[in-house]
Amino acid sequence: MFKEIPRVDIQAKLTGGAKYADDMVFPRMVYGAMVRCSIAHGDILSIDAEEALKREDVLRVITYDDIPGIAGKAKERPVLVKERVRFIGDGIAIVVATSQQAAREAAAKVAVTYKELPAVFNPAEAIEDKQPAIHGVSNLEKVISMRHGDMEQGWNQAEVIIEEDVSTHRVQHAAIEPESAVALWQGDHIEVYCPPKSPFNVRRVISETLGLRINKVRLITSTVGGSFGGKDYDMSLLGSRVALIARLTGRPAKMTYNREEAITEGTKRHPYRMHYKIGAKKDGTLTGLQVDVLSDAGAYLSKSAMVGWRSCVESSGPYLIPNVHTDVTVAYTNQIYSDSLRGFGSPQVDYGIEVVMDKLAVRLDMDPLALRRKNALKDGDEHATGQILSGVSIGHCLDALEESSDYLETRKRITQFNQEQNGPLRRGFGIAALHRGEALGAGGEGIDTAGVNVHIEKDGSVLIYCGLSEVGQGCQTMMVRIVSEMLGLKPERCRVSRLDTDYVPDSGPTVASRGTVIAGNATVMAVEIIKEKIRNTLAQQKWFKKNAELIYEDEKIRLKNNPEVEVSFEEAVKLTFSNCDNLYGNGWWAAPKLVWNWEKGQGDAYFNYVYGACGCEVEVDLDTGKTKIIRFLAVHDVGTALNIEEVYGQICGGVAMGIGYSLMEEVKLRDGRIQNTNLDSYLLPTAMDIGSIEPVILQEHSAIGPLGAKGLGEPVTSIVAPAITNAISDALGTQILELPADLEHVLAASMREEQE
Amino acid sequence: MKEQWIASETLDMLLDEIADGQKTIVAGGTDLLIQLREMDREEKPTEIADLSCIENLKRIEVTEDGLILGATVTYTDLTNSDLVRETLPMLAQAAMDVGSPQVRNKGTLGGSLANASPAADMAPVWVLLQADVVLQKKGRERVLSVAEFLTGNMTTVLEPGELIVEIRCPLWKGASMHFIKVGRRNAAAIARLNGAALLRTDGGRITDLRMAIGAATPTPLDLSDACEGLASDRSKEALDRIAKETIRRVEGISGRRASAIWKFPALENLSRRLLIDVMQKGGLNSETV
Repeated sequence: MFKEIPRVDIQAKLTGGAKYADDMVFPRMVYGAMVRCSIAHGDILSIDAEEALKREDVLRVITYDDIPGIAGKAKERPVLVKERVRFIGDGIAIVVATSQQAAREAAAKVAVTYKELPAVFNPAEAIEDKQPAIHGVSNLEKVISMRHGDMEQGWNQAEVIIEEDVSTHRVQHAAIEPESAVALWQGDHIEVYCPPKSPFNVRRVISETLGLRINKVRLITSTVGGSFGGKDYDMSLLGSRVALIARLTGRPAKMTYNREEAITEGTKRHPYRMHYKIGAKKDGTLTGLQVDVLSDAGAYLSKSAMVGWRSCVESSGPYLIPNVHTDVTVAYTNQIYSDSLRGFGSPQVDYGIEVVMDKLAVRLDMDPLALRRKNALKDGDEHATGQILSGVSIGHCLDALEESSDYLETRKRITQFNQEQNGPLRRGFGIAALHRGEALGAGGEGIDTAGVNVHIEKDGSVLIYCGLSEVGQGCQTMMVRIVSEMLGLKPERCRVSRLDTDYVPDSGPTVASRGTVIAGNATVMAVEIIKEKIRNTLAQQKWFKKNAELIYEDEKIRLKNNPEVEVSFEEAVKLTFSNCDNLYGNGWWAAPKLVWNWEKGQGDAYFNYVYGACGCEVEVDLDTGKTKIIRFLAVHDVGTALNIEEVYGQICGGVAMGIGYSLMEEVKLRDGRIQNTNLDSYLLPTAMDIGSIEPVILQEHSAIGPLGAKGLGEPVTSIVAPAITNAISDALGTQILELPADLEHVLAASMREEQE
Repeated sequence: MKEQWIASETLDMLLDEIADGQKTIVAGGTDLLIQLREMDREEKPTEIADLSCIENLKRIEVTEDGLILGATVTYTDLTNSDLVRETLPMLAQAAMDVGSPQVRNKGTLGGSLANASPAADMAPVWVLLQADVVLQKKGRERVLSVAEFLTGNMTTVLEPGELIVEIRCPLWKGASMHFIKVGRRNAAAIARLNGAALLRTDGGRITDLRMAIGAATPTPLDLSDACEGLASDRSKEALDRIAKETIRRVEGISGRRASAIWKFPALENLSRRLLIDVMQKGGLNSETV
């Protein structure tokens, strides 16, 4: 196991040294403020900016007609709308002024008139005939399907069949830093500073907006104050808006959303309505599963189809089910658009299958852990996608959960606790199991690549450039770990440059928990090139015989066969440079090719799956419906833990986020308008709400990941909600099948149970 | 327009300053700052008078009038005060449930009362304990009960130019007390419901049993009269009757809103729970409950 190293960015972030986009100020800078649409669906009749333009501190008001390039591709959210507005929050104009306050005040004076169109907010209604179409002729964007085996057989073989409706709700990233961007027009190209999750997506959208070739847009990332899947398309829009101001006024420009704006405009996690039909034999063997999902994409497409694809592929959970039939329907509605949010379609279907598994366990009178173990995937099993699996560790994860939770004892203790209560408190224990496709998979084929450059400087210090963003996930520290391990150097020798799109190859989006595997492997390749160069230098110095093996450790290079022969790393660097060579290595790694049949929804969806299992003990107050998390056990197979402290950090953060999803977070909409646009009414869990989180780490070497590592960022949050609700259901004696499990839902369930 | 922040070191000076009735008063600012942020520029007050420099308003003392708490005593002061913890520990307990450490450090007892939010954490406690507020304006002092002081959702009897100076709370020696707050999370949460109960006994007999509920009606609901019957009948049925009566009164005042789906059953349970818990605290055998 590797020793832990401190995060390379931690000192700058903790001491306030790190600079965020909003910290940046340039002389003669101007500020933009948005005029947003106030109706859910309609056409703009007029925009009257006269009042705003009367102010001396207002420079101009930018509208659709001012855009040199395109405002947005079909179905994508435009930088500024032309005529049609599709949700409350669509951008209509940008007011540019010499101060942020002036811009905001003037924006409030811009009067817009509309011809209102009927709006639709319920995705089930939206796809019915004769509903107002938000794009094209229908609100049905796509049905993504998976067909495996024969459902008739699945139901015939079943001795027990249950059907349930399950639903999840709309939540948001709530990163502490709202979107912000600064742009400078440099005469022949635009320079943008912002905190993007996926810098190359943002750069592309800016180039489209300004009608510039990609090489005329330079994006330099500022410190990212949290992403969790956000700051992607939202950042593309804001980056484009600020770039527009800089291009049109010729002056440095800045826009920073306040919290209300970030919540009004920011993408959310897709709410799902799911119908499950599951069949099993009396001994628990699963025979068939049918899943119908309706996903609310909101007003624009963004990555909704890709999110739906992942949901489809993962809909059968980490279980061997010979007959599976899944349809994920993606529908448009006139409300805030949905997009990636830590889990990318996994949390919803993981919730679905895992609460339904518990319901099935009750029906079969089986222990929930035993039911899962009975059906858990094994090496050589055929996944519902038809893929033959290897490296399956769900069985070990369930073992580790049983052991770390002292499963049977815990159940016994809880039963006893409940029997002794004459007050309102009841305890419960719940579990959930996870499999999750690593990286983008076949749904994102062609872009699952990344480039990493490693530069050894003449003094032996190391500078690393990467095409994926440091969004807090620890990408930089991961690369420093790999470089320092492979070259036998102290991590302090390394610094990671912030991402500048001028200097690193387009590495696609920073998504899918793929940074460690994809960028990590690219780092390995870059270091191999450097090692080869050092090898050449040393060989020319006649330092060793051909084919001799070298060992890099303790900042020295040694001959394996004769460790007495050694040269310091710095000396080797000096020798190389004095020989007219350099020590730059460029790594480019692409995920293994995958073949997918879109029609049947069969094929190799992902090159690997990761596995996990969670257990949660809760205490529910039957009087009020209040749930208290007592302890949360999170078992994850992380492959080789490149930095154990960060693994703990990822798990604890992911669980905390999952607790918010489970118990209290909810974006509330009424007629398309978000009701809770600040963090006083959109409740995130505090340190007092998360109980005791206990990470349990399994390290089963990955055949593909760098040094055997696997991705972790999204898996840690994906099965928190079902573990918690299963625990609540256990405490209540009745199953909760919808999120969030807030005061209202839990109290209602407990009263339902009483009546029954 | 000139913007002014007026901070005086003595109460008399401040009362002079605000005598024109035009100034907005700030103590801890935990409510005012949020309200200012939500106002349009035109509606924002231009003159703000600050109480926080007046030492005398921070006092915590016991006198023959009971516990005296200055208007700018913060929740943190309350939780940290040995005097409070010895004399009226429930006050410290209720104060601990307020907001977050930052809000408790800045938020004041007087400010919260003047703001008169229906969900104020301490409001039902003051009503339960029959606390008084001392109000002053230039040349006049008056003393009112908190129940009289609070008139509705964000409204009080405070007149322009008038201030809360202190809260006087009877000590209720020998009484058992219990406070419950239900929020959506365990910190930094606004009460969805809260309530407090108080019990005095004599030789196993109830001599005084009182209860007040907050966050269900615009001002705290005093249910002490409904609890009188418990002195002679502590049966489950008697408790159920009080719980039902609680809902009946809330519905009578606030009607049945959408939130009632949760609030009414939770309120029924909460009022029952408060009574059971306070009786247990008071040593009344739970079997007889």
